[in-house]
Amino acid sequence: MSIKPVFINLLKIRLPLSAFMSITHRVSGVALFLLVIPVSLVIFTYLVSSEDSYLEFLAFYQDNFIFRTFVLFCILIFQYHMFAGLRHLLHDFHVLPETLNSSNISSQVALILFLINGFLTASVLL
Amino acid sequence: MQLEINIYRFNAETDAFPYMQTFNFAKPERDIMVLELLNLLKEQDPTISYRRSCREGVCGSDGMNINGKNGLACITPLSQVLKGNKLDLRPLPGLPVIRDLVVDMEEFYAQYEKIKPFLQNDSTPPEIERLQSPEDRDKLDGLYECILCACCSTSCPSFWWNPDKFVGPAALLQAYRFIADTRDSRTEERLEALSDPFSVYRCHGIMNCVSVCPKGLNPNKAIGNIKSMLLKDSTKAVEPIRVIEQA
Repeated sequence: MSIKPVFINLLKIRLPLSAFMSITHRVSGVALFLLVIPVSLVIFTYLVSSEDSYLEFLAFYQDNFIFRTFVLFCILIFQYHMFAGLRHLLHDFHVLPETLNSSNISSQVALILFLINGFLTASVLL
Repeated sequence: MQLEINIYRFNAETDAFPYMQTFNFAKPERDIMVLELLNLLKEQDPTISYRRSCREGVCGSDGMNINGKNGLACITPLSQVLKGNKLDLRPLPGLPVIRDLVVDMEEFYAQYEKIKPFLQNDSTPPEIERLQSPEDRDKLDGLYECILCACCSTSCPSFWWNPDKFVGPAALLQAYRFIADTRDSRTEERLEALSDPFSVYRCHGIMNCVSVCPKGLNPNKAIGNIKSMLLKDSTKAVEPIRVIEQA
């Protein structure tokens, strides 16, 4: 007798916007832990090690567009995690009602705030 | 107009893997329910397997994934779920498939059993019945109506990951139904049983359970209430330590 199959195909299962927010919040959390925080610590250590290293880094940052884009990407991950996380907290502490409608609206608001904030950050950094 | 109906097929005796079988079917003149359509298809191919019983959304037997969203076939009108002329019918996600649209619900019922879904009261029963004020009775509205169709639990990614540890929205709704019941005297014990990192806390409020519930219930809200009660309970436990420190 064959093993009983289990149907879980995320491409075939419709999830609400709040599910998308929750899953991407988790993914951004992992990226924050594995990429953004270690990279920030390395950069920070280099920046404060001496005056020369600070100036050297500043010159490298201003000349290198790809590196600036990478820094922006890291900041965007942090911002996304923050907006999605705040939304989560507001629901967890019953500040926002736990209904499907309010959850969808709060997801849309968090996404719009992230996009505005991301756009402003990009216009400053690039 | 011809409908294209794709049905998930699997027979453990003959198939190594599941596959989708396409049926072409003339669109009925009147709007029918998905279950009725399945019954008509079964006349064409008697090997199609699915559960059904009351055909009016009360027994919860015919929960399935209809065009990507869980629901009861018997109360889902075809007009509401058709995408163009296509309809995909799959079994409830996350549970082992026994045959076609029939899933093994053992894990689901095991979680339901875990929350002790019955009234527990240690005091001597009164002669007639345990009375409850209308206000206290109102607290059970939106909780007791669950028909255990498993649409919510099987649409929950946390339940897919940990069907053995995470209690799941359906059973948690029932857990809260007894926690909120003033006639039940084992509230502390019930909360204690749910206080581990998996039973309740695997819920991250994605609201899929609310989105699919065919009875319009809100397990997410019940879970939120359980979490709040657990939080209050845990802060209570810290108090005696503070008293000792002050002394």
